Amino acid sequence: MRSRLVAAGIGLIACLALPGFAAPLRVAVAYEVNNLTPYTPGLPETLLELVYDKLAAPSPYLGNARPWLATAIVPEGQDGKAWRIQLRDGVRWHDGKPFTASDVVFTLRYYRDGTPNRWTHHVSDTPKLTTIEPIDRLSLRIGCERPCPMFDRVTAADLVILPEHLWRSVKEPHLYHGPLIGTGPYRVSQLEAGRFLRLEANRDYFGGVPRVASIFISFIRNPATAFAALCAGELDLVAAPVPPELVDPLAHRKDLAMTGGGNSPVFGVELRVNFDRAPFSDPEFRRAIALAIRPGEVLQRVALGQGVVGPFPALASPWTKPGLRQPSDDPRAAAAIFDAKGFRDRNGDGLREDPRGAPLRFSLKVSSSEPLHQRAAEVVARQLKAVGFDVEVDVVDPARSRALYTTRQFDLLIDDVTPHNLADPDQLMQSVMYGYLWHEGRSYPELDALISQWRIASTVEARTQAGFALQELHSKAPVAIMLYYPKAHYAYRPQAYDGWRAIPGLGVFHKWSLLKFAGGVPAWAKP
Amino acid sequence: MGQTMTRAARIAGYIVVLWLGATANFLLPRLLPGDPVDFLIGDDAGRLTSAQRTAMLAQFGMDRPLIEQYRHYLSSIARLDLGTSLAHGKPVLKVIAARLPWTLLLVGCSIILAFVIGFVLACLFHWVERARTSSALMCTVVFFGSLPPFWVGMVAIAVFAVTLGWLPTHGAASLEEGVTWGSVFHHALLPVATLTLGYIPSVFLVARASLEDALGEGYVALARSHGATPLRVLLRQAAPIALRPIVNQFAMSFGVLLGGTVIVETVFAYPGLGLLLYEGILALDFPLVQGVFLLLVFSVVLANIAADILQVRLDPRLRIGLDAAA
Repeated sequence: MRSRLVAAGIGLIACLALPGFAAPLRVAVAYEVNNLTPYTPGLPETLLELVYDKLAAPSPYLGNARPWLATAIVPEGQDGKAWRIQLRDGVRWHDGKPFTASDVVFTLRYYRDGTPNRWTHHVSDTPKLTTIEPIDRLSLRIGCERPCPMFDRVTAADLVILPEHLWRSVKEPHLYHGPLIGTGPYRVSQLEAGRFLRLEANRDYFGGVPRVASIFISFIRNPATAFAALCAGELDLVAAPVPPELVDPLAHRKDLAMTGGGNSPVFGVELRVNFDRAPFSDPEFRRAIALAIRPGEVLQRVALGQGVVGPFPALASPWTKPGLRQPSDDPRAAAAIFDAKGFRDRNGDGLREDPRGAPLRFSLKVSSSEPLHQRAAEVVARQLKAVGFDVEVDVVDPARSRALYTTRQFDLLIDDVTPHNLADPDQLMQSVMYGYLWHEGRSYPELDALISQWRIASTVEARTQAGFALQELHSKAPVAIMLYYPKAHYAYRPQAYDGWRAIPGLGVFHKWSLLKFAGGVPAWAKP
Repeated sequence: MGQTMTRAARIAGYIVVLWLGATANFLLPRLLPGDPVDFLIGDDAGRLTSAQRTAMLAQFGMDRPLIEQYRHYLSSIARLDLGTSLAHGKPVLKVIAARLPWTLLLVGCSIILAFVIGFVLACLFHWVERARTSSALMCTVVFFGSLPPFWVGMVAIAVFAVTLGWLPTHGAASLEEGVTWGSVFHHALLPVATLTLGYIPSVFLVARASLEDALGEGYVALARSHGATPLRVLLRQAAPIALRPIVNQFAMSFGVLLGGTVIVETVFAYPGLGLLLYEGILALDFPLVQGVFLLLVFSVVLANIAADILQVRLDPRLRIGLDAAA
């Protein structure tokens, strides 16, 4: 009897000692995790940030970034080109080694000079860091080639910091298979490629106590299977928005709860127009195409009305010009432009020919793995047919869709647009320089002038205004025509864990949902 | 001497098929627009300088001229070096070796089950002499075989996992318990059933036709005239002979089903070769896709060789035919 009481006591103490929920949390993600480094393709930053940290947090998208691994990021001088970064003391890597300024210096130089990854252009191009020097054990100084007034709230919130002692000798980072060590709230305890990733809480985390001791992350590509697994009780969260048609059925289940439901203002679905191809190279023609599109109808038919329509980039972003409008919903005005440009129906078949009288047929590419995009493509094709264009929807596999886009072999294409492109002010410059919205070398004097203005802007205000001017110019003849911004609902099992916080641009599965903050939940992390 | 020549010609034929398969395997992914850098870097790949792009491709040997890549590819195959996977950053052989057992389990179980069930149903078809019952059996089998595996898989998940809660929806083993026999068996049931259901009709149709041929043979009529019961005639006289084309199909089906696992493994998030291939195609991971396809080509050719050998063993008339040809 006495020994049972002792055992029960030990069990109780063990349970109380755990920071929250003792049972492993089971989460499904919609991609396969084969590795977990900033060089692993296709990983969302939220997953990466469970293991690694950035100098500032939570995100570069909403203008709310505050020092995180840093304690202060302050400008030096008046030209907006230099910053001094002071780091937290006492932070340790998961393997026990101390985190110091040399790790940050190494990481920034490694990103800038080494093999590129998805984030490196934030130190090698926009902005381009020319000096990255340590000052002492916990501080460093960086200098940019041109003004970089957004460094503290964008660049610093964009790049995860790597441990120098493990990465120093790595020449081919895409092939790295060393220990997965970060400073983040979770450490990798097991990664079985194709099956699961297991994370364990880092109880010494500087940013708060992880509320879940252990997380199993399964890789389920097919959303129907993932939500079936959630309903069957095999998962506690599907870290992907609920498809519109499943929102009602899941909302009625007593064992599940939903969070989010607000509009996801920095994630959307867009129609991309190939400005390298005639007639889309003509700004007036692009404007007419935008006018012919009725995004409200697309939203109703595809997302069952769950979302909002809006311009590119997202109005919810503090970096987007307030009141920005995208031309739309005016097929008559569109038809007038087409007529004036000489695109008329000369043979009476209901379809327009080009000014030389040759028939026109556009192809609208869409990925086979995106059923909602396919529905959107059908609606868009119909809307364009209503103004006299024959648009063929061409469903291709996702790799081909991506390849056709990057090699510019398309007329029109429907795809997702992520917060990185919708709400990152530095990324806007990348977009107009490297192919998404325009590209270097293609004549556009008006744009070139605005790019020059943007580059010399040395304050946040001046940079923001320069960004507004670029957005305004894009809206006149859009290359990215926003179709809709969907509402993002996330379904989970509240009995397992009920602390999910939907943050725009980050979803719910991120470290801000899993931390117990010392001074209460910050305003930006509240649902 | 003549027989040796015939065998040598056959082996040469297999080598040519392997070479053609390997060459197509090399060329097809490269005919796609774009390159794997687009996957490694994502949307920002467009901002890379050509020097950066070349340096990244060089890591995977893709910066060299096509003919040089091809030469390197063939010599690497000979050394059993299939290159490094872009998405995994590991040798392709290692990545495949980790996934192959799961697929072999699915395919092995499905082939055996499909053949046993298909053959039994074919015997039943001939044993039940009523035309209406036979037609119903035929329609049922063909109906189930015509259902898309994606749909069958989802319905199976909805019924047996979500509604009844008997079986798991996805994965190859329990995350909490780890890889135990019980857990692996439990997780394999639905994917195996889905694969099996799709393959039964082809076995059934072949078995039905070959049983019909066998039942028309003279020795079967002789057995009947000696008063053997229909069941005895079917099982003792016709079935052994009817097995020959089925064995042939058995060997051939290995390669076919290996390819067919792509859909089933994606639906059930089953970590086998099919899902690996799908992920490889999404990532334009040329080395990985080539590795998996090469395995498929080899397995089909090996299955053909095995079927040829088995045919001769099962039917001595073929050996006589071979000798006569020699």
